[in-house]
Amino acid sequence: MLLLDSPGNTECPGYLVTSLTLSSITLYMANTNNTGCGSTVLSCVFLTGNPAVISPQDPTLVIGSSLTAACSVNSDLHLKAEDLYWTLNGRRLPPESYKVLNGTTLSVALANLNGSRQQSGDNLVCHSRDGSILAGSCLYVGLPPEKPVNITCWSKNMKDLTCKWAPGTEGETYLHTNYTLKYKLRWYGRDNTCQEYRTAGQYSCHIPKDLALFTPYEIWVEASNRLGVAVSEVVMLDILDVVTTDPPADVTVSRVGDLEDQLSVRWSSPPALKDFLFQAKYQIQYRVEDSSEWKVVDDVGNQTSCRLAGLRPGTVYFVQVRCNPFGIYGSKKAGIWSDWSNPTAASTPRSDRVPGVCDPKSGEQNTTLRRELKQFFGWVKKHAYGCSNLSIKLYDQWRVWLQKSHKTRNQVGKDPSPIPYISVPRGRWAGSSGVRCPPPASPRPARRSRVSRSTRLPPSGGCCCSTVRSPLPPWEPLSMALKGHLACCSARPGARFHQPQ
Amino acid sequence: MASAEQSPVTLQHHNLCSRVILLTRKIRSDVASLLESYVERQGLDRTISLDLVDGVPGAAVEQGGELTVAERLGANLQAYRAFQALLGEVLEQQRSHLTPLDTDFHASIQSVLLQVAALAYQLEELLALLGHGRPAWEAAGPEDPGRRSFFEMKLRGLKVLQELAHWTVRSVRDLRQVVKHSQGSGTAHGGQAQKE
Repeated sequence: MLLLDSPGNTECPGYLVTSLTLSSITLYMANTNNTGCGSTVLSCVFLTGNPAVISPQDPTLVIGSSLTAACSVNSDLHLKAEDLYWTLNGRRLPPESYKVLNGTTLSVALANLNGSRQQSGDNLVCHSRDGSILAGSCLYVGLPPEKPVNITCWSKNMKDLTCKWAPGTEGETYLHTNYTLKYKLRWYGRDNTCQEYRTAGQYSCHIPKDLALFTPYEIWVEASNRLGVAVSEVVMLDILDVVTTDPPADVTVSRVGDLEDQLSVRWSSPPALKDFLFQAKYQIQYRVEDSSEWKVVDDVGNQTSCRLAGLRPGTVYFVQVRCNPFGIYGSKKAGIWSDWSNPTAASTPRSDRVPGVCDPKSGEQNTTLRRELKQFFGWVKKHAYGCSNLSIKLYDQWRVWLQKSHKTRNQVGKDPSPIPYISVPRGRWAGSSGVRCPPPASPRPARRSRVSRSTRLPPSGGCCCSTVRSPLPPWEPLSMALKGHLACCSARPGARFHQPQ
Repeated sequence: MASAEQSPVTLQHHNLCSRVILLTRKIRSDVASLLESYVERQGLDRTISLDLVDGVPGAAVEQGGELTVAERLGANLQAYRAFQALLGEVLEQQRSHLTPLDTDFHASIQSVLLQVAALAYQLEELLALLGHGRPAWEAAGPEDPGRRSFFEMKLRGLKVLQELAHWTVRSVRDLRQVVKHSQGSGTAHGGQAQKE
């Protein structure tokens, strides 16, 4: 009985005929794992114009299987089977694996095949003695696809839907595998097929429009290659539960007056969602220019401004903000963070004191600190009436006052006016450079100075995010001392060095 | 001094020749890179014998000394028209069968294909400027690729690129001859009957 095979053959899964050319009709069997199929080649070859024909032609095989291929030479060429040899991907195969089937046909046996070396298939080639190519066949050796897993989807501003997935636990099939994302409305929809693939990575698809709200979708992925088909689990989701948005627009970073360790960050809420009922929370991340390590401030809440504190003086910082829109039309899901905004850069003002050679001696430092503390507490006594009014705002005011008193006294090497606002998109920045030595003597209290408008905290909705940093800025000893004092006064146990919200 | 005596048509012809030579050199450079990535992706050796592959215009000139300007340019034009069709075939075979995921590779083939189309157009312009008719497209279309095995497709693609590379070398030489000839004759016209 003759059986013409096809990829749909279920009796011998490893037994495939992928082409039927005009020059030959071939019937063959390739042994695959545990199928009970033999590895005999049954060839019925009718040669036409080609010098030789290889059977099977362009077969697909499972990794680990065996193959016997035959090269039949056109008798007009007067070549004998003994004159032929085989190569696989350019490497000559050993004669021990050959078998002369008849005067013009030479077979080769390949065992325990590895996955195809290239996507275009391994080249099994039959040569004449002088090296000429008589015929070739491409072998596609791989694995059937696995069920795609980890399907995750998100909708940008509720206008579209993008899903991505993982190809399966093993991943590599060594064969070209097609993925098709399908979706339907849960109760009464018909199957739809996603059309725009690879929009968010290799395993992703984008549905640009015609999506319904308030009704869940069923979404699944079908994987198929020459060796089979696998279908993922069905994921159910409501568009409202997977909404993300654009990164916050108009992110600006500016100095807080002359404060050397702070920067103010402001941004706008996502305009695309302004007509929808939703809440938003934000995160900020920032890093110094010469570091790749971002520090994340995740307690920003739903404010659209924040003050970063505890920064290094005279340092360029890159700042990014992202938004998580949640609770859209009452959705209970967590929401999905947007991408980070483009980095915005700004520099903190330089300190009057430069560490290193210009630092005063340690004994002088202690004296300075003691004097400053004395000055500060004297100032607090005069300006703050009891601990209940003591806040970072007051501390900031005192520092501005102290800095101004330094400047008034030390005119040598004075900088031009501080840059009140710097915002340079996409990682570029502007700012002053150069260093200045501190005055030789410790600061002396000057007369009370007014606090400039720019040093005031945002009128409402601001936050101050203190951070741990290194090395210690010039004001750190005083800050630490003050922290201890604030901890004593604070109504909240363990309160952080924060601007009260 | 010689350029001062050139007529506007001769100057135009000279400029067009220069542009064609420039484009041909660019194609040669791109095809060299494409050949590298092609053999890698198909698992082939560049020295592999391609005698079996037919239907690709060869660049070898059998009667080089006896060609007129029109014949020379006409042969180039016909070759690049053929390569336009052949590269389209190669691209389709790569997309559909051999390297379906390799979109960057497809883009590099597409880029060469577009340049070859532009070169064919410029050669047509040059022929027209020299007063020669544009040769008709040759009727023989590409074979049905469905009849070829995948291995044959790979070999054929390699042959197409190798011959295209050879043609670009020949074309630069031919175009220099055309420039030299037109300068020698002092006019852009009249080359049709003259033998070189």
